[in-house]
Amino acid sequence: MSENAFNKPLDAPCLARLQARCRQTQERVYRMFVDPAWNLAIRLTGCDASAWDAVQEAFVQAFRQVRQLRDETAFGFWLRRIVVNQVMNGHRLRSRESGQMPTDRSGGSPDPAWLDLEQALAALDPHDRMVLWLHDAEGMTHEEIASLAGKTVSWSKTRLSRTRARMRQTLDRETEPTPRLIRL
Amino acid sequence: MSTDPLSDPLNLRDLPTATAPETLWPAIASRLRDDDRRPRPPWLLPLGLAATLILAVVCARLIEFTPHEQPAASGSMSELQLARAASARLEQLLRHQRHGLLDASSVETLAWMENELGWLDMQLTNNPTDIELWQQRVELLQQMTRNYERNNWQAGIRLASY
Repeated sequence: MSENAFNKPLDAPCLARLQARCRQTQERVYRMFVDPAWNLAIRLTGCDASAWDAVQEAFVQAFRQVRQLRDETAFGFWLRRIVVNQVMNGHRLRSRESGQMPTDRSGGSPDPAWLDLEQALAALDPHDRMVLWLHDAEGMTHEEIASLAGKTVSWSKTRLSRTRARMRQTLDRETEPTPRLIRL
Repeated sequence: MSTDPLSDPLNLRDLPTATAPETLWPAIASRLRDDDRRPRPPWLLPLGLAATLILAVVCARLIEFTPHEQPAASGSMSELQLARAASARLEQLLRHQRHGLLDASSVETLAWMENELGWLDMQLTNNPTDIELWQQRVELLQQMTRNYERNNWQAGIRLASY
């Protein structure tokens, strides 16, 4: 967990200034955490517009509710939880409205070296992608994921195992050589 | 970055990291500025006169409920039962405190706390025996009762100065 980009502790004076709604401190803290927050949101949503909504709302909520935070060292992980909640709220809202999840990436061109993995990830069901990313990339435990999703630990474990298997299958299929036609 | 094949067998941590758009902070800062500029509700002052009376009722109820805060047989209760009992007691206290009058700054803080409580309750519906969630709920309810209590006293003092 120590390598996690959300693991950047604030100090007590910084938290006090945040709680006093100091705009400069808000901007400084935003710059500390925006890239990990954006990266997390973009991986969970697979869509720039949804990531924008989730990250914007997460920072606004975090700065509004920071008076509730007692431990200044926990800010990053607290923010991460808010980002995941926002992404999940977005999924729920969109699935209620249209029955579909957006998966297009409109901004930037993906690195060709990682195209297969990125495409396989983007093609996953949003819940599968969330469990896989939070566990494997963010290093969260099944207990933390289950708590965030409002599900059981076994739900998280089953999803992870199934999703990893599906990803491997997809990636293996994409790397297999195309069979040649044999002319008789 | 990722080297542990057990925790990250697909090497997801090695994927290129995305950078947030530069225009995101101005959008967030604008939302936060709107929050700061939000005017105090116009109905707050006229209703202030009623607060003295409500405050007196709230204080009376607080005194009424204080003796019941010690669990009767805490030694024989499990951690989960204790957390549930504490949650129920605080909930009862809150039910009375919610009738008090709030000042504008407390309205927002308490509204967020009420939202957080709703979120926790949603989690507890699916995991009714999760001790950590119950403890989080108790902690949040304690914060809320403290906030309501402080606000009610402050509102009372302000009203006394009118």
